[in-house]
This record gives sequence, C-alpha cells and structure tokens, in this order.
Amino acid sequence: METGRRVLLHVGTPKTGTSYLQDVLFHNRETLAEQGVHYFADRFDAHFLAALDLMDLPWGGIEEEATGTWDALAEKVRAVENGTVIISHEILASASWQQAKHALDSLGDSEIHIMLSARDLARQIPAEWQENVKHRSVVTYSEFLEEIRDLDRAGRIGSWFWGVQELPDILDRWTQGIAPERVHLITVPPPGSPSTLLWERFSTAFGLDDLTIDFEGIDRGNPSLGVPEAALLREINLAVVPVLEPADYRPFVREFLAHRTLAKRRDSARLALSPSILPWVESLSESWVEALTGRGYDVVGGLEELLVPADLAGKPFVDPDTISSREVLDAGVATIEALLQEAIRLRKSEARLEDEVVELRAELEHTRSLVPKQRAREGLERRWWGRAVLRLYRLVRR
Amino acid sequence: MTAHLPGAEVLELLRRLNATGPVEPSRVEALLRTSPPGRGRRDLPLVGDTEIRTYGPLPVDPSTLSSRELLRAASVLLAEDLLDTAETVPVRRRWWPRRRTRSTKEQQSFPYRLVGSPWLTLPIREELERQGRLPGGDGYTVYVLGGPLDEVAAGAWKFRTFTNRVNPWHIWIRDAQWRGWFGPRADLPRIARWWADRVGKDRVEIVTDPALLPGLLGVDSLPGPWAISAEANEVARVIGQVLCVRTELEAQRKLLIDELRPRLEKLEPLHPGAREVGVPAESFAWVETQARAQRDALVEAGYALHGDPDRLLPSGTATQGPDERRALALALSLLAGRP
Repeated sequence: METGRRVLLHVGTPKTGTSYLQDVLFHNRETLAEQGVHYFADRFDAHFLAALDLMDLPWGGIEEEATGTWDALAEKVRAVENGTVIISHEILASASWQQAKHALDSLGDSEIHIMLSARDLARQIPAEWQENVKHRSVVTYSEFLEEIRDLDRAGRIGSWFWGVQELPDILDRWTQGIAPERVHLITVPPPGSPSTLLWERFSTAFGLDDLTIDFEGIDRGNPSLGVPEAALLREINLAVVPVLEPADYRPFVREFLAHRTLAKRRDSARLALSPSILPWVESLSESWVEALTGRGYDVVGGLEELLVPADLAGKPFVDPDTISSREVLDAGVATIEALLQEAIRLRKSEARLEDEVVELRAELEHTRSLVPKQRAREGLERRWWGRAVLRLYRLVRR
Repeated sequence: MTAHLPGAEVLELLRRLNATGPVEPSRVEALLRTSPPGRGRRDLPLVGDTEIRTYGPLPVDPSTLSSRELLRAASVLLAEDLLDTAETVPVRRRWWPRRRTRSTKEQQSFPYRLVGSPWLTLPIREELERQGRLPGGDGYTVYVLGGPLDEVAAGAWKFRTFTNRVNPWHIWIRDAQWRGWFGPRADLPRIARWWADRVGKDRVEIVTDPALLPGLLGVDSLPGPWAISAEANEVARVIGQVLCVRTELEAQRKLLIDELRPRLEKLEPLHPGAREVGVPAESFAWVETQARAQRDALVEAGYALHGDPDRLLPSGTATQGPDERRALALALSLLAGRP
C-alpha cells in the first residue's frame, strides 16, 4: 500500500545538465519544501555522498564523509507523509542491481519514479573523456576510445563508462518491476536547440512547472573544454598529479584552471567523436533506441534525439592527441595570465590580511594592558577601604 | 518484482565457497545480497543465459573470472562480518592498552622514541609499551629504524593496507616511481631531519641493523613485523576499500588490526605458498638509486649510525606482489568462518 509520498529518484546520467538541476533544487530547497517538494540536502553534494555510501564507492578521500548518509537520507524520505521527494545524483547510474534494490527498498512504501536524463553518445563519449581528464587522468583520447571499445569492459575506464552511460542496462538495474509509466526518460535536446529547452524538460518531468523557483545566482553547471584546453589539461596532469593531493587538485586544477580559466575560452574547436568510431557509435545508438522503444516509458523529449546527429559525419574533427603545439601554447599562455592575475589578487589579499593582523595585535596589546588595571579595580571594589581609595582617586582625577 | 539472476562473479564466488565445505544458508543469502563494491564491472551475465540482450556486459563463463574479481566480490561480506564484530566488541581508544607504570630503571636509563617505517616499528612500540616502557623521558634518544629500501617501501604499503585506503601493490609501486618518491613513511632522511629539528641532531640515531635495537633500548629481545603475507595484506586492502566508506578511519584501523589480523595470522599456515611483497625487477634500478640517495643523505648529515649504512640498499629478497589465487583462498576461508 503506497502512501501519499512520491519519490523522484534521478539516477543519471552524467553530462546531461544534472549539476544545474541539482543547483536549482539545492538553492530553492526551503521554498520548494513549503510547496510540498522536498530536496533533503544540508550541503550541495549531499546526494553525491549518499550515492557513494550506497555503492561502497571510495572517491579521493571524500568517502570518509559519506558513511551512513544513504540510510540517513532514506529515513528522511520515509518520514514524509505527503508530498514529493527528489533524490538526484548522476553516479547512481553505476549502481549494481543489488545496490539499486537496497536503495528502492530503503524508500519504504513510496510511489517511486525513476528519472533518467540522457544524451546521445556522439556527445557523451568526448564529454566523458574530458571528465576523466578533469579528474586527474592522463589517458589520451585514443586510449580512452580503445578502453571503451573493449568488449570485456575489464578496465576501470570501460567499466565505469558503460556503467553510467548504457541507458537500457541502467534502466534494467533501476526499474526492478516499477511500472513503465513511472519511468521517465528525459532526453537532452540536440545542438542548436534553445538554451532553456533542457530546463523546461526537467521542469515538466519533475513537476516543477507551477512552482515558485528563484534562479538568481544559479551556476550553469559543468562547462566543457575546447580541444586545445583539454589537451593542455592532460599535459598539466602529467606534471602535477604525482605531486598534488586530490584535496588540492580539486580547487586548484579542476575548479580554478579547468572551470574558471580554460572553460572560459569559447573560440577554440570543440571536441567531437572521432570519425573512426562513428559507424560503431551510430549502430550502438540505434540498438539502444530499439531496445528502449516499446517499453512504455514516459519520454520527455524524444528517443530519436539519442541517435547520432545525421550531420556529424561531415563536420571537422580536431584530435586532442595530435593538436598543434601552437594551439596548446596559446591555451597555456592564457592559463599563465590567469595564474598571474590570481597571484596578484592573493598577494593583495595577503597584504590586507597582514595589515589586519598588525591592527589586531595592537588591539590585543592594548587590551592586555588594561587587564592589570581592571583586576586592581575589581580587587579594590571588593573591600571597604579599597572603595574609599577608589573614591579618593576619582576625586583627585577630576 | 522481476526475477533476477545474480552476477556471474557472485555465483562463482559462492560455488568456490561451497567447494570449501558446508555453508550455512544464511551465509549464502548474505552473499547473494552483496555485489562487488566501487568501480569495475559487475552483474555479469552467464554464458548460456536464455535472456538475450543486445546491450550490457558480455556473458561470461564464471570459471574464467579472475581471482581479483572474485576477491572484490567477497570484500563486502567480509567487511560486513568485521563490522558485526564491532557491535559486540567494546571500542578501545587505542590499538593496544597502554599500561601506566611508574618510571622504571630501564626507562630512566634508556629513554627513547622509535620512529621509521611503522610496519617495523609498531609491533616493537606495542611490546615496549606493554612492558611499561613508554616513549619519551628525560633527554630521550630518537632511533630511526631503517632497512633495505625495497623492504621499507613494501612495509609502507603493507602498513596502509591495514590502516587506510591504498591501491594494489603493482599500481602503488608504479605511481611511486612516477612521483619519484615512496612517501613519508619510507623517507628516512626526512623522518630523521624532522626529529633533528625538534630535539637536535645529536639525539637522533639511525639503526640499520634491527639486531642492535634491543641493546640500544635495554631489553633482551624485540618482536619482528607481524607474520602477515603479501596475500593477507591484499585481503586487508580490499576489505579496507569497503570499510573506508562504511565506517570512520579509526574504527577501520581497529577492525583491520585488532580483528582481522589475528584471524589472518592463524590462516596463513593453512594455505602454503605465502609471498613477501617485493619490488618488481623493472623498478629495482630506480629503488636502488633512491636507496643510495637516502644512505648518502643520512651519512652526510652526520647522524650516529648503528649498523652498516649499506644495509639501506635494496635486498632484492622478494620481487613479486601478492598471489591473487592465494589471496582469494584466504578470503574464502574467512567467508567460511575459518578459523
């Protein structure tokens, strides 16, 4: 017997606008709760941690903060009597059948809907390579393509890629008898579509259309890199990964260099699917669409959008493994410029902080000098003769 | 609910477990509720399964699955077994009880601090503290216990298998070579320098021959490292990969050192063919260069030396990582509840 609690469990896939959706939900969680939609998160990455916990997945040390977070999240969900709860993280796509079962069981007697956002493989494959490079990898594009074409999927890259991208398999693992009309497949619109269309699809699928939502200050999410920028980042990884701890890599390389510096360069060539694997990807995409057709899922967008765009074959391909040094150098010079600007900003900040320290030290010294006087006065005020002395002192001072 | 056939990796693990002897139905059910953790393939379909899919991992013959994959499949239940013991065993703050005693004559005569590779020093420190010989004391001497760098490096990895999350040995050694450094636990000049900055160089002494240590500390004998094979380290490592998500670090260390280690030590003789962790041949020249640099740095710094400084050069006594088949055999014994 189901309660009046509806759970929208968004299980993937990566690189489909999930960060933006999660940012909107997180920043509006209080307003949404007032409107009957709950997004239980005390920090932005709360559902990421819950996913790590569910899947016993170590992640550069951050897993230490994940212990028990899935069960804690599920407990909050079960405590809701009426309303909608949204859980969203793209790495849930890689959950095994048993892990998905544990997740579904933990949500109790909820009306569970499985939400899966998906984008065509022609864009997902290059995007996943970039994502690898933004996560300390030094794998070349051709090595990456070779790994994902390994039928055994024995390597780390191949097993992860298909775990989070193979749409029919993800849905097999997560639906587990859930009625098809409660499975919602949201497709990412093709290139050239209005920039708001993906959000409109999310909004429709998640039932957010008529709710009050504040979009002020929402980050547009995970920006992509151009080809020379991605090639440069891979070279940087070769140099810094051996010496930078993950905790330092995240803010300095991924956030500052990749997202805030290199991703801002929008004029360079975008990474595309290598022409050598185009026929294979076309055939694979067709087989997926065929497997999904007729399952009765609620498709928001269209299954045909998961096919490789017909015009891709004629487009130029710039290979990040063989790109000219000149282009990578340009990206490198831009990076040095950004680093210098950052160094100048930090130096100014350091100087300001030093001034503050000097001021605070002076104040501290002054306060310390007052302490003996204060103690003497308090001591005198406790005795009759002391009070008399104080009165005399004050008279004299006047 | 749709019918679900467990992945080939779990079924094969179960078959191997059944082959070790009778297995309680509850253990079978517990195992079937798990799936391999973390990254890597899983939910593998069986060859011959009548359900034809045009997607998903290729069907496999379970008998061809590697020991590494089966060990990974075993790791969740092994971790859960350890976590179950945590609920019945009271948590101690320290790994060993520290006996507070009055300062003994030996303690006054031989005040010490013992540092260096924790794989070598921890059992000795535990034993000394059991005897009431706490580190420190007036004008204590810092003994930096060293040894052949390949063994010290292996010790750094072995220690981490019981205390933290760490990559498999062959990846760890490859990454160390790429980084050009084995890390703080195998960098004796760095350890010595750190202590020299705090207590003065004249109170830091390097011990390259462990046989000399009892005399320096005023005891008759001292224990060697834990009797743990490379394979037992590997078992601890894969369980640690699960525990690092399931519990906090201090509890993980306690479970692995206090609960798992004694069980592994008892199992070792039942499974012949134990290996020592060793540097592979392709990395040996690099390790030798590192060792010479460490030796020269320690000699040039002028620390007092106990033992031949050339004992810091690699011994080459072991050249392999864990035997994955034997590691799986140990894991199966643990799963079966032996010892």
